[in-house]
Amino acid sequence: MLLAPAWSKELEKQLTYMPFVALSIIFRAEDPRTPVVSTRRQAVDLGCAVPIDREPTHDRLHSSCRSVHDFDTKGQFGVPGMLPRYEYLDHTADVAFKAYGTTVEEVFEHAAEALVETMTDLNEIQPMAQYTLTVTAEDLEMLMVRWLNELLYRFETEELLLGRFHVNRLKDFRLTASCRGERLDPARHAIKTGIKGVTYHGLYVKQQQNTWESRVVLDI
Amino acid sequence: MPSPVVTKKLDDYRWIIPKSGKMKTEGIIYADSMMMESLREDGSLQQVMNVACLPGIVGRSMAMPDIHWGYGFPIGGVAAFDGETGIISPGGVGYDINCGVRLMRSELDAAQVADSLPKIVKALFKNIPAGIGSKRKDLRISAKQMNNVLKKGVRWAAAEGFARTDDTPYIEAGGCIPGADPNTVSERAYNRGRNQLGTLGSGNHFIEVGVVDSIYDGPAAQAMGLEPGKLTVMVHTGSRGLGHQVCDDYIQVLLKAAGKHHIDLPDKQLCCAPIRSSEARRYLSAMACAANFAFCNRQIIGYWVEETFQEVLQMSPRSIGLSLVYDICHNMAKQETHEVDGRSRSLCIHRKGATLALPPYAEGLPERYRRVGQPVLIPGDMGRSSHVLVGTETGWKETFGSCCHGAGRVLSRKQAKKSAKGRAIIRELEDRGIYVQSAGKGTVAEEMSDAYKDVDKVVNIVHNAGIAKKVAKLAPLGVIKG
Repeated sequence: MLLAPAWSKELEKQLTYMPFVALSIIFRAEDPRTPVVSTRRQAVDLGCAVPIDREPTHDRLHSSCRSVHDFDTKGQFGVPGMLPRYEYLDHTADVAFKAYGTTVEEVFEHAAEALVETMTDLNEIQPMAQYTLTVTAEDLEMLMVRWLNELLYRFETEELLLGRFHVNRLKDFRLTASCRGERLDPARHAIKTGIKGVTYHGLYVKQQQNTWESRVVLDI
Repeated sequence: MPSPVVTKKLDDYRWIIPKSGKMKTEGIIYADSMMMESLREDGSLQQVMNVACLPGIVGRSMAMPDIHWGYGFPIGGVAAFDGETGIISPGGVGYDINCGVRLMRSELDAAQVADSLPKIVKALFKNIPAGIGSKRKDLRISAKQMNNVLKKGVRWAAAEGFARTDDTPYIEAGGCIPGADPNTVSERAYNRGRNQLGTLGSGNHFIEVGVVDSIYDGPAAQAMGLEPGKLTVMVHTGSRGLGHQVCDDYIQVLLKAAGKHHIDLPDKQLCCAPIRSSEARRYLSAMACAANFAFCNRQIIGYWVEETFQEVLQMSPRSIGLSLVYDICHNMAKQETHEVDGRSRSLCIHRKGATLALPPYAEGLPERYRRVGQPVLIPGDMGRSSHVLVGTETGWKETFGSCCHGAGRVLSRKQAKKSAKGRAIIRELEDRGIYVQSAGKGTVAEEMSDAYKDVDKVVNIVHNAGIAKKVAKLAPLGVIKG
């Protein structure tokens, strides 16, 4: 493993904002577990070291308008008319969100991001280690509840904050995902609110034309 | 768009939803006309109607004035079911099983300790874990101890030294719901709860230091030890991750059970099972375990509150005089005996965001409160007063001894944050003499007063309807939030 020269970190910062399809090698010296990767897509798939640019605002729905897959195929951020990864909805007592995706796997990934973002700033979670999670259910809605509850459970019992999600396989209501994250560090992870549970209210996971959409209400 | 719910005004504080469709009984809302207007918009009236469709319901499907939309059952909803032919539903209890409130009074004059108040609030924030991921290192619970927490409730906490005096007469159900078998609690729930005993949680959970501001009922206030100008402390928390997991586990069990027992559900979240079924019995047992966990939680936190006061004020426990007024649940299903149409019946009363309110001379009251009735604790939001009431005979007959639990939200958290944008809520509160320490960065804006109904109005409605009686009003001085 080569050590990253100091100039490469500056380059990495600049490259993050440039519409390249492929990059050269990305290093992270302080995390020897991160493998050497040769393309940005590979880096993204492994969830390492490439921050997804997200600018939450108060005046509109808090959302991210970039999809890494679209970035790779279309080669640019923020394509007009693109659905966000997720958006929070108005709900009197709790938190409700809709997650979107071009595939069913993506909608589960983006729902996970929405859940974690409720608790803390997703961008502050470093992808220090990888975990494989598997959940099963009787239908897609139940699978969504179990998936999100699994993330909550890992947080509450192991103080694990997972911030990057890649669903490897979703078939016959069995989901396996590679997730990257780290242990809670109160000094770096700004605490927002705890989540009591994922409810079944108004819950759906459905495909409309080319988009998958899921609506979830969290009891906080 | 659902059709508007038809209601009939019974009097200024009672509105009936007549039986229609699959309803087995009427609905009743305790509210005034202004509140009724807002209730028509949030879907909670429809939920009152849905509850009225469940098998074995006894009496009306009830809604307290702080009612708002919830999962299946509305929050602020009360429904009784026959102990033999009725059902039990986790949605009628809520995710936070035995979320409740503990009120302590003291000998301290608020004016005399005013200078120490910021230090007290900071010390409470330091000593009592609040917010996500926080816990005290000096409290580690083994698996065997957890079993005893779940089975014995406050009795375990007292045996472990978390009680200076015997508080059990002043805790609902003596701080322990019987029939709690830890084997009915899943490993997941167990694991979630093990690290969270003695933690406040987040969201709308808090500890509030207050002062007795007004007295409405002298003898009742005297029985409770509430004197104008004296400091009080209120703790609001529940069964944390353990209770939430128990609810989730059994929602899934009872969803299947509802199908198996051919129960027609107007809303999936009203999933339920016949009380006599094995599924229902297991849920009741797990619910009791979670309830006992919550009783322990509030007992331990209350003990740490006392320790904190001693540490900051450097005074003896006797001079501080912190003692328990009462500890009540506001998310629970309890097996109770009530007189219905002249005969005694065993009922399972679901109170979700509603409290028990025993009238004077009721069984289960400690001697100190026999003549006045059970204290009913109604916390306000961060910036507004809390209230203490007592149960009444009217309430016992009409609502099976039930009362409201708080103010109820009117703004979503998003709307609250938007409305709070640019406002320094903490500074606004400090300008009014209320110190706030919050672990969550969004919580303060989300929990601001404007987001809630006016608790004074809610309390006046139950008082004027006669189902509870006002005793005292407490003004907030300091709050710690998760």
